[in-house]
Amino acid sequence: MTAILVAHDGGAYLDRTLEALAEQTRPPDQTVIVDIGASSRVTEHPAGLLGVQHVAAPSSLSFGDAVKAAARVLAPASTDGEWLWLLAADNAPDPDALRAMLAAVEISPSVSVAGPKLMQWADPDYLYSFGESMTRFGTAVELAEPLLDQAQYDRESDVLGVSAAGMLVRHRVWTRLEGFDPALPAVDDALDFCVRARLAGHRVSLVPDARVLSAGRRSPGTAVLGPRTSRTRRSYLERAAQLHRRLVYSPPLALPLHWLSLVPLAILRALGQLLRKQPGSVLGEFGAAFAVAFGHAASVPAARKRLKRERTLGWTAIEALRLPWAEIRRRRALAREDATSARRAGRHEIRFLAGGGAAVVLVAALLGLALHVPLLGAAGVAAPGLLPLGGVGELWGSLGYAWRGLGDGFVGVADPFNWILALLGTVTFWSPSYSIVLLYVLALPLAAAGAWFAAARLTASAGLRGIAAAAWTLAPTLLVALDQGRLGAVVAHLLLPWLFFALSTARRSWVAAATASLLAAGVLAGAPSLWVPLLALWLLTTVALASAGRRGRGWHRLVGLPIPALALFLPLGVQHVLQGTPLGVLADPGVPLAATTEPNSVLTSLAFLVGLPGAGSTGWAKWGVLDPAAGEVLAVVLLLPLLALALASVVLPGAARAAAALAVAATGFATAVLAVRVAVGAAGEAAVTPWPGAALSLTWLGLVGAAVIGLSAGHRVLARTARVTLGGLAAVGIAAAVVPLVWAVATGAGGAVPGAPRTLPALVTAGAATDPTTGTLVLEAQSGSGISASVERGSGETLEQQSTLYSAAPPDAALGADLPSLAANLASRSGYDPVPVLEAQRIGYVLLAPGTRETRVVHDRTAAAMDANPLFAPVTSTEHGTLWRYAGLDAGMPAAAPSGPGGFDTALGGAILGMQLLVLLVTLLLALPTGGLADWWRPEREARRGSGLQAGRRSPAAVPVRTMPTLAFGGDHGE
Amino acid sequence: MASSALRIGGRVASGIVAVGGAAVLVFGGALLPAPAPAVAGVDVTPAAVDQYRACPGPLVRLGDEFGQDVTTVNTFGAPEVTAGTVAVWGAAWFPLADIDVAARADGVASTVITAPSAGADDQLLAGAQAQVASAADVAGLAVAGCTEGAASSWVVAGATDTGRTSMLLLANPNDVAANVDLVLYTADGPVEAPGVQDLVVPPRSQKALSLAGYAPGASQLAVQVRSRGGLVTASLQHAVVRGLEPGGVDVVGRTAAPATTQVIPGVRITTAEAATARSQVGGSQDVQTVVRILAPSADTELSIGVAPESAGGTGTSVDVHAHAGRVLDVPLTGLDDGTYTVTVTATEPVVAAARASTVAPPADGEDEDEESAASDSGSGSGSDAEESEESGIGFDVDGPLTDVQVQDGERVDLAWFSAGGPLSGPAAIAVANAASPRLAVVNPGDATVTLTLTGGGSQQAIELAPGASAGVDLAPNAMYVLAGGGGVSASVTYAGDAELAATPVRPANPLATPLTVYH
Repeated sequence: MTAILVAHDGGAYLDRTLEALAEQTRPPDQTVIVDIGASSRVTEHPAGLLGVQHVAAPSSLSFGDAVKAAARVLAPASTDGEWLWLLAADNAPDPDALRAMLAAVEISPSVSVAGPKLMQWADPDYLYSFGESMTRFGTAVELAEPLLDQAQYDRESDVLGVSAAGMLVRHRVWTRLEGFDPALPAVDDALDFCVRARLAGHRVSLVPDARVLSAGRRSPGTAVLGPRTSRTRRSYLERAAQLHRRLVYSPPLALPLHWLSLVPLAILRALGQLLRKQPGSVLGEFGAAFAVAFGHAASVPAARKRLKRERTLGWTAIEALRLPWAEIRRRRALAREDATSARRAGRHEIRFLAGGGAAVVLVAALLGLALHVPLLGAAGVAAPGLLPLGGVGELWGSLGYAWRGLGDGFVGVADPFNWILALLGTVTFWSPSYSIVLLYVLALPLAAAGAWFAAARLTASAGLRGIAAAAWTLAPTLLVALDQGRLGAVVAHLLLPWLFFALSTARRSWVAAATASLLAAGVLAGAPSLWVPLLALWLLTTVALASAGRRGRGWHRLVGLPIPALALFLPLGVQHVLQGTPLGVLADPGVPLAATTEPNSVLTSLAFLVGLPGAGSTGWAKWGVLDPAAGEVLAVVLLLPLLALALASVVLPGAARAAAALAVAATGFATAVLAVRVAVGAAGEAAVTPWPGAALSLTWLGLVGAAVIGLSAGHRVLARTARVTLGGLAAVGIAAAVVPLVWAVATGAGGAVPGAPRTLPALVTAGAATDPTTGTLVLEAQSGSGISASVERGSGETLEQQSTLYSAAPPDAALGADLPSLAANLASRSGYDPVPVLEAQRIGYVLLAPGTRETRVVHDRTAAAMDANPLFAPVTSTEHGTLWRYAGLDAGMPAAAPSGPGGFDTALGGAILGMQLLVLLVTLLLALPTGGLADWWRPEREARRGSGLQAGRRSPAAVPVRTMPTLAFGGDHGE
Repeated sequence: MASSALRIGGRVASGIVAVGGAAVLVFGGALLPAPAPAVAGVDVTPAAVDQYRACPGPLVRLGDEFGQDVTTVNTFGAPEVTAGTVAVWGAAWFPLADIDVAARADGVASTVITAPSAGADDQLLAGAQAQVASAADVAGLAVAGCTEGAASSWVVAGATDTGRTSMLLLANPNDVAANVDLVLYTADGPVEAPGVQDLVVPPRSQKALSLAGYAPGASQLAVQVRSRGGLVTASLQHAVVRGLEPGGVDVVGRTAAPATTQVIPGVRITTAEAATARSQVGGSQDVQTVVRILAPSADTELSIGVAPESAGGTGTSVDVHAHAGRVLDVPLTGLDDGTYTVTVTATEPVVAAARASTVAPPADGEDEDEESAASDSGSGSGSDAEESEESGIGFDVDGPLTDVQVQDGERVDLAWFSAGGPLSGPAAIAVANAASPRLAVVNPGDATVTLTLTGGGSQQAIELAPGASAGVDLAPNAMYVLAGGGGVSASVTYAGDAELAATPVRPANPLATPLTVYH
């Protein structure tokens, strides 16, 4: 009788195990301590131990190899009565464990392998493992649940396998079966050994009276599998072990099929892991499949040979020992119940209907409807920043690295906003432009709903949630963005509160983290300038949490937040850098609008601090009551109570969270201040900067958040009164500040009006029906001696055709060699022959945009020159401008319009789109709230093999859930 | 107790930090330097093309010299055309076919002068024509510049009340027909007249029409000529007869397009006293010096500044209100002899021109011969000028509206001073062969400019302080180039015995200046 103790950096575990071994009522005849620890060599042992041998072994050995190393120093077994007792550093046996096991095997000579009852180290009253088995498909299963040991499993004796820890095995059998399979270094090694023992005609039995401890997942283990092994590595080992056994056990004919199925199965199972919110296991799935498919070319035949050599019985002999389906189903049903109740307990009580959320959204919906009634019947919305959308096919076709017909035409990566446009347009696939109408009508209720849910993370008070929702709905940035048709900023404003909502639980749940990462991608696609503040806040929060120890638990779920956004932006950013316009990646998508904000003014700065995107954005100018500067001063004054309230929140209880909210506001402010100083493109002769409004939405989020935190502090009567007074004051201030904006929209003086689904005169549009590639040269006079030129095809430009690559590019690169000459000479009395360029570019019309007072000189000059040009016939003058038709159009254009590859037509384009699709799909799968589905499909208890934690002890419902996040961007963590 | 004090202190401190932080953000955000954004464009100089200028041709009258057959437009006399470049005297030319004008046996007609595209300043084409009329019904000096066509021309001049004729000349020197719309403005607003839309001016021809048919009885007139297709050169011949005595003639080209600032340089007043006295006489009110204003689109407040060219002179200033679409004549009184710059500043775009007259005492017998020699080359129509009664005795004619008093055979000539608009680059100046030509140039800008006047065999530098103006005597029948004059306005005026005329200096080839193309 030899005890083999595999010691691997055992520490306190090892000391206790050695003591327990010495205290055995039936001490082992000799003890071999295999020392595979690198740091703490075992040199001492209790005096009670007899016949101790030390074997030093390389630290990389697996448990099975360590046992083999120990067996080599022993004399070969001469009789069947010689036993090996395998113990790891944490397997401290009860004093009479060995005696009980030897007694059990003595009375049944056919038993060659016996296993003790493994108890949890931290609480020895709880079971850890007691017998192992397999399903019909070979999946290893534990027989015993990790429950309080009430002798409920003691009737089991004959089992398929036992755990390696505490295993008592006949020395001869061990030798003949060649011990554990070297290809199973950590997982299923004992199960496989027991299966082979069974097939060789031996019995494997459990000994309920022998109790051995196990530290489970915290066990020192070996270098292959120990407490520091990552979850990914664990899942890899488990999957690799199962696949290896599958290949070893399979009939020879089925072996190729099994081999071929390895990778396809890995893909399917990886998707399943995502749905089960186990993203860490995805790599393990693929790693295991590839490792077994290509790395086990030698070990599988060796194991099959070993199995065949010793096999005396058929597989039917162990059929009865496999876990029957009925039992598996029963167990899954139980697990499902547990999971469901755990999930219920973890869910936060929002009470959207009862808490007043529905009412707030309803009011916002009515306001949105009332303001945008004229839009309802329109086919689209016309605003300075808006264009119609193309067809659904064009929307999706614009994605990726594809030809863009702007200016001279180029192959470029789509703005990430095109993904949002494609999704939007698909909603109303019969008329994609109408989706913008719907967005306008629904913007206010959507903002209210998002803000209400976000506020629910901050306060339980229905009133405060309502005020926050109203403040977010009436945010000047949203109203101005709607008015100017800045669709990206609108989308960003609508998504920001949801981003906050998802982030607040992102550390607890993969679903929330993945959702947050998708929302962040959406926010950034709409307003790329928000990269600056969001990246800074993300970095700060993640680093802070990662270094906060226990309080920062779950920070790893925040690490991947920027991945979907990066996948969308990286190709574009690379192309911007190659083009020499690295800052262009921060440009707002869509129609480039000239910057209007005066950067160096205290008034602008003050307006930014209260969330107003600059002068002229208050609506007073449109209303005509006050001049823009006076209107801005008034609006700033009206918004000061909100600022005061937000600042005051740091002296009230909850100051830490309020400070975090104010930090968010300050980051947004800083971004806005920087944004108006960075030229990222050009619209005609005017510079284009990122719109500060998007960053100010972030400021508004911080201010409103801080105000809500401040107001929700304190429950005394005084606090409540102050809350009502101050909150009311701030709310009235906000409402009063945006009255002119709302009024301008309501009276039809707003910038967003019902629009036709085209940007060119009807004559061109009619022609586009037969030939959509005919180009129209669109000239727009500038206030200096300048003119802007662009070529629009078919019925005119659409929103998805816009590209920040084009607006940021230097003009000679953007326009090519021919267009500037063509435009300038057509706008002049000149001796230039435009026919070659017209025909090469397939330009059939010239449209001169209407002139303004500032641009009249060049406009009139161009009109005069075009009128006098015998090549062109004046056609019509509409609100789109004056149109001339090229006389050569009658004869037909000889050349096709310039064109280029679509998104999938080039290898690079395919790779970019494929990468983006993959990342988005994976994130989406992870974000789908399929927790229930996954539990139903394959429930798994966290306390399964190896965790060693006490599960089933506390009722899941008793897990306390904290509802308040500690950081605005960190969110709370439940446990 | 101590801990509570600490807590309160901490709160106060964090409050101070928050408010201080906000203040730092506000001022930091305002003070952070903002680099001026620079947007690049592609500079394109349009491809060179032959230069051309259309000259209005001989003076016209309704009917013949006897006042018969008044439905026919006849030309009489022939102008002396000065054309060419500084480098090459003279220019190629071709005549324009006259539409609605009785053909003349001698083939004298309006002409188009042409030159190859200008590679240098001294190759810029310019032309001017001068004609002195001394007929019974038309007398005086008329000088007109030869100008390029335009899609929109504003001619601020003319009258159609009794004795005044306004003939609009529309020249289309292009190879495509021009469709012309006219908008006539009077003191009562725009005229709703039939037949002013879609007038077709065929290629390479000139059309003449009397505005009396569209806006009869208007003492204040302005015309906008809009053309589609070919660019037309519009000019207006304004002739005055008071009783039976000719009261002057001028051919006026277009004035600068509507703008909130109009500068009219070189308003030359030669006989201030006599003109003021004459303007008191019935029927001669239009002898006085006026600025004619039209705000085409919106009511406007405007101020008219009259600054003398020489430092010692006396100027004047008038503030008026102009109604949209109504022509307004603002009298300029109290001005001594001299050259003045008239600057009109308005809150809404306006067009403007000035009118002045010269009044000479009755002529001695011999100057008749000079005038007829100058004007009546070949036709002999001028010989009928002898018939004008110049007995030296005033007599009255009762008109239907005004009592016209003819004063002692005084000889009156009128001149319209138009705004040429700011010069963007070098401009060529053709000086017509007329009496005492003088260049007036004014710098309305904020910086001193140094101009170079080349021509007449010499070169001369003119330095102009902001707001200053200068006058330079020129040689008649000569070519000049005025270079270095970004933003200045200039005109050439002519004054002699009972002769007064002016032509503004217009930017050369305004439709072919370099453009910056943006994307």
